[in-house]
Amino acid sequence: MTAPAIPDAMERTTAPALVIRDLSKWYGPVIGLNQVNLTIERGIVGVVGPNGAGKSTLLKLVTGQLRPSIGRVRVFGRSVRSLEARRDVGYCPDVDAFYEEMTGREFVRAMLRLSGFAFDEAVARADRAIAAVGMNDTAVSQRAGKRLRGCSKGMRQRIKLAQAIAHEPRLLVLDEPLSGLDPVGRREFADLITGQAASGTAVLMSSHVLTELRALADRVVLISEGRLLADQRLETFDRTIDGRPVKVVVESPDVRRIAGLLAESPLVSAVEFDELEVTFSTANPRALCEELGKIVRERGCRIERLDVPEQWAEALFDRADGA
Amino acid sequence: MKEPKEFRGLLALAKLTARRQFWTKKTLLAIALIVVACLSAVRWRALKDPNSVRQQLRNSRTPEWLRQNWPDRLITVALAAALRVPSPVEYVRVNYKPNPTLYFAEENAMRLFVGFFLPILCLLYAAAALGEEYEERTFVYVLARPLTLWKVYLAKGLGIAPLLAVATVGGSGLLCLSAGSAGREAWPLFWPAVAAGALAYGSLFLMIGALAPKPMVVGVGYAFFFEFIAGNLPGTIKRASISFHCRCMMYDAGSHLGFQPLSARQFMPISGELALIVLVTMSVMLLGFGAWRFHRREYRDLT
Repeated sequence: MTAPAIPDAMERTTAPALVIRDLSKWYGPVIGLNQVNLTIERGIVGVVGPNGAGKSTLLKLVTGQLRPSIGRVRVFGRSVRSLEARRDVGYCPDVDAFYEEMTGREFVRAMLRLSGFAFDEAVARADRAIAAVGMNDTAVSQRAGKRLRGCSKGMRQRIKLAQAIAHEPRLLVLDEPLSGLDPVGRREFADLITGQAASGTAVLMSSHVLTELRALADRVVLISEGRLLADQRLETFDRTIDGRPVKVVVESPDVRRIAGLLAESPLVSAVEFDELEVTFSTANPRALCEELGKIVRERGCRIERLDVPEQWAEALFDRADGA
Repeated sequence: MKEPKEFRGLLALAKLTARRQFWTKKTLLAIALIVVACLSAVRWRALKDPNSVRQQLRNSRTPEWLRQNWPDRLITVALAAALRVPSPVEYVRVNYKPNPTLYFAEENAMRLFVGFFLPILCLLYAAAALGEEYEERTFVYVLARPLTLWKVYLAKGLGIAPLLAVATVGGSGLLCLSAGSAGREAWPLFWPAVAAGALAYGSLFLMIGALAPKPMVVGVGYAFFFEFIAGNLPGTIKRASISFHCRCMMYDAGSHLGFQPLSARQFMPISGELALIVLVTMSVMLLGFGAWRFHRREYRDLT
């Protein structure tokens, strides 16, 4: 019978990458996720929320590791529990665990073999994936041949991404992919993710740090206490928080001097200080940080810690909770 | 390009499991256990084998029943006296096994290997096949693959099967070789029981590894409290133990040589065929139940 194959194939190509309807998950009496609805067509969608908000639960449901208590998850028109749907999903877990005795290349190859690829095909795909995550260039030619137990965090993250993309999935699910990376590693990794999205793969990635997602995601989904609080494009979020005062905390042995120098600045709307630190309220934290740098260079003040708490996230949560 | 196939993935999983389980410290431990078993067989051959020069010298100076059993049967004699068996000396004489093959089969093959080494060797590999993946948190990668969970369970079982076969049947072969002619003659009585026992223990410990939180601890607890203690109690409770059925198979296989339990009234043996059927049925049921539970379970705490 060939007739049903046509609509099925059509559904696969036209259906959204991910459709979540009325999705709830309970862990006994505890609600992990509550009535979540979400549709992803393409691009990078960030899932953000504090620890314990339900991000990992959502991602595990999307990858078919957990069964929904209520609701359904469909990947390209198919139930996520079906083998066909799972072939379309690449998953990069947040856990830093591997078959440590293997090399990076062997690990990716082994994952492809588990996905059902023949040996030759697995070898070719593993090489392509290793190259795609930047572990095959001449400067680091030995990296993918190094045992995983001896690899750095950045290399391990790249291998995790390589195993997720090696079978060329159309939906990539990344759980906290940037955590534990240094700034350079973050930038490189972000480029890899952007490259995947540019090649047409839909990406769903979680983070509890909004600034990470700012640089990557087209859309942000905000989750708190298992509820989906907001699902908007980044520009919409930016408009929400524009003009909100942000608190910048400076720890310094020259607290009084720094407070005095900046108290009259038009950038600062309020100043609080004690013996150890000074807190400035500002609508333009970037300009204030540049001003602080200038004070350090020109006036010889010392700064031991500069902290810009994530007011952006707070603003979003405030707004979403109030909505 | 060949399309990916689930069956190919499952075979790869079985192969990966065998490879990862083999290249671990467990294999060193398994080799050490087999070496200990073989050394005990060598010691038996040197000190207790009725065909050995030492035993023949001793035989010329001591009474018949005592020289064959000294010092091993002293405890039996004392126990027989304590249990008010009419004549301890007569009791031991009746149960005395003059055939070195049977002496080896009971002392080394049955008590030492089947009673102790067999469950431990099976536990090493079977409980770790899935338990280790949970503990190392690598199971999340298997879960993310397009594989059906109950088939994953069976693939894991298939992966450890060759390791179990080599460690148990191969180990028992080495044990028999170490014991000389008595061991070689005991081998036909011995290996079918070891193979059936390995199948049953493997199925049981695979299930424990998949479903219990600390599979090694639970497995050792089971082996000690159930197989060792309950399996040796008088009465019918021991019939629930795997080792009982292995022993029944051995007694049945050696019955034409006069191989029998010390007290058939207390041991209450069943026929070898029935014991084999029980062990195979038990294995199939344990595999089926384990696969069913494994398929329905959720793996929440892996990430």
